[in-house]
Amino acid sequence: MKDLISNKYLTFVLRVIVGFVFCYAAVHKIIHIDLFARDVYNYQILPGSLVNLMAVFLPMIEMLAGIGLILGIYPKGSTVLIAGMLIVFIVALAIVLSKGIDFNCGCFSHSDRGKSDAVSLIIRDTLLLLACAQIFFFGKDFLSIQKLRQ
Amino acid sequence: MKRVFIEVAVILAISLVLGILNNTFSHSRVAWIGSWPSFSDSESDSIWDCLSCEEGDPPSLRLSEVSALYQNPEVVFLDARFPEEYEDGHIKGAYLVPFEADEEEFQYYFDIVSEILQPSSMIVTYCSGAECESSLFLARYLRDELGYDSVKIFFGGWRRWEKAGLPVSYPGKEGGE
Repeated sequence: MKDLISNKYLTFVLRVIVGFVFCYAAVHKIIHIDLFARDVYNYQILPGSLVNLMAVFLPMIEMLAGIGLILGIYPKGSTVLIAGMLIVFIVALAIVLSKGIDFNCGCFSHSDRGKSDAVSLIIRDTLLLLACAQIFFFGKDFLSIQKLRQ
Repeated sequence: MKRVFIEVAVILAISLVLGILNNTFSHSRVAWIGSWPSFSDSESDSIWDCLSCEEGDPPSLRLSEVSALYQNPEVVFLDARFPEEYEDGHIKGAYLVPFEADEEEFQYYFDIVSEILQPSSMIVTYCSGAECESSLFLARYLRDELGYDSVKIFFGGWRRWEKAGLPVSYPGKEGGE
C-alpha cells in the first residue's frame, strides 16, 4: 500500500491534475477581475476594502502555483500555496454553508449564475487537499524542471 | 523547510508583480481598495421591479452587480435625473444626462459626456429609484438610437446607492462629499 501511495507516477499524475485545475480556475479570474471581485464579495466573508485586493492577487497565485506544480518549478512551494488556498476555500465554503447563503462559487466561470452546492465543493477541495499531501510528502521531482536543473 | 519558505516567498512576490500589472492594464481592472455595500444591506437586494420594461430592453443590475461594475473606472455612470437633483447628490463620478429635461439642455449635457464615450463603453444609467423611468428611457435611447451596445440600468437608483453607503458626491452642499 505504501509503495502505491508513494509511487512517483501517481505523484506526477496528481501534480498535473491539481496544477491544471488551478491554472484553469485562474484564467477567467485573471481576465475578468471585476466579475471575480463580485464573486468574492458574495461570499460575505471579507471586509469590502479587501475584496478587490483578493480578486487581483489570488488568481495570480493560483496560476503560478499551478504552473509550478505541472512543470515541477518550485514544486514544494507550489504545493504548500495550493494546499493553503484549498484550506481557505474549505473554510469559506463551510461559512457560506452555515450562513445558508445562495452563492455562485466563481470557481471556474462567471457565466454560470446558478447556485453552487457548497457540500460538493468542500468534498472536491478536500480530495485536492489529499492530493497535495501526497505530492508534498512523496514527491520525488519526477519529470520536473527543478530536477533537470540539478 | 527553509527552502519551501523561499519558494513560497518567490511565488508570492512574482504573483504580486503580475497582479499589479494585470490590474493596471486590464480592461476589467478594479479599484485597489473596493467600495462594496455592507452585507446586511445587500442581503435584501434583488432586481428592482420595472413596470415599464419590455422584452429586449437593456439589462437591469442588482446593487451588488452595479457596485462591482463601479470598481472598474472605465464603466461610465450616467445620471438621468434633472440637474437640481444631480446637484443635491449623485453617484460619485457619474455624469449628468437629464433625459427628461428640454432638448437643448439635454443636448448640452450629452455633448459633454459624448466626448468620453466610446461605442464599446460600458454604460450604467440610473435615476432616483425604482419608480422613475428616465434611466430606462435613456438606456433605450443610447442603445437603440445611438448604437451603444453595452448599456445597463440600475433601477435601484440614487436612493438605493446612497442608502448602501457607497461613494457619493454632494456638489450642492458645502464640502462637496
